[in-house]
Amino acid sequence: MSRRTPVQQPASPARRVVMGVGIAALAAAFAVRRSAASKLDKLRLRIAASAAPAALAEFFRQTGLQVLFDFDAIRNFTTREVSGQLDPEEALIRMFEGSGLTYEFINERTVAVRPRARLSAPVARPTRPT
Amino acid sequence: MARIGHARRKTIFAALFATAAVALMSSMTLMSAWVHAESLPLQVYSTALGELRTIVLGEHASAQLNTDTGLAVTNSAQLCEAVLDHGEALFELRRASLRPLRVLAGAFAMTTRASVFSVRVRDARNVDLLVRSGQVTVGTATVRQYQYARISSGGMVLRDLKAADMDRQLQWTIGQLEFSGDPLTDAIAEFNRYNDRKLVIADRTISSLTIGGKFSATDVDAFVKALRELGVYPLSDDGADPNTIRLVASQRREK
Repeated sequence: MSRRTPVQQPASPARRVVMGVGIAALAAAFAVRRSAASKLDKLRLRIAASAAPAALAEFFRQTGLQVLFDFDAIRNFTTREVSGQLDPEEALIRMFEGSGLTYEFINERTVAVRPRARLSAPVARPTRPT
Repeated sequence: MARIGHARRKTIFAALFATAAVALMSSMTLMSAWVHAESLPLQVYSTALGELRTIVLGEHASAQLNTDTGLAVTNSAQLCEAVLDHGEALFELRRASLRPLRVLAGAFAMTTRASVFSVRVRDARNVDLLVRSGQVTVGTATVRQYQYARISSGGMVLRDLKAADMDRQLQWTIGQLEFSGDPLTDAIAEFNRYNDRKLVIADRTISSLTIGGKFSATDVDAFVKALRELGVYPLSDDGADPNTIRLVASQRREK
């Protein structure tokens, strides 16, 4: 539930200007690099049978792989339960068995998921209310 | 040109040196007066695009800065004050303290004595607040655990979040972006916060696409390649700006 509350605005002291100048004077650059499993690593996985978006969310949390899917296109699909010491690709094969979903590894750490009957281009859909 | 004697040159140099020294001392004094306007030590921190950085604010308090963020911190015996000039930060005050933490973000002030919360400055008049634990006071209102507040000059809109949604919103703290039915336009806007190369939707038929998944915030290449599986392609004739990737629905114009 949403509700609106008045917000008190603090005074704007000159110190904030000084702080802004100080911030503008500083810069540093480090790209964030983080490691994750690849599609060949065996992992202990346990993913319940469920609607595809929820199952895939559990899949990327447990494997650390990058995953992309068209949310509305797969939301009515369901996947099978998987459990055991599996590599991520084995897990996807078992999850998607008989589901009508398929996958494509973009690289060792990235997989895209889509319905087996592929659309040539995304279909324009009305924006969902937030 | 007339020659200037050795003594004369020394006098001129000394005068120039003295003038420069006075000017330097004056600016240093002026800057010092600014910085110590309230006799508080000032620490300033910033991050570049794609950078994450964790800093110690004081005893039991820390902040993690997200991409393209600027933060200035002053500490006194009574208060730790952090000015979030731009960007986003996760603040942690790990246990109840007599010395509160006050965060100034945009035009708003937030105060807490023990909590974990994230603040994002969208602009000077629009700020987002997520409270993961504890509670944060904003003006006369209190934002509690698992609440999201969108704060603007018109007031504050509060929304309760599930734990899973809170975790999803805070994936940036580990360098990740997680989507769950988000419009492609929103997902692209998030990627653009972290990268020099900007994604642009150049075909309105793909703007209504909703996506799910999880990516490293800086892995634009893999994201664009994965989008092809969803029927979204980068334009091949877009050589004018190498830092812009325009996305369309037609495979015929694929790179």
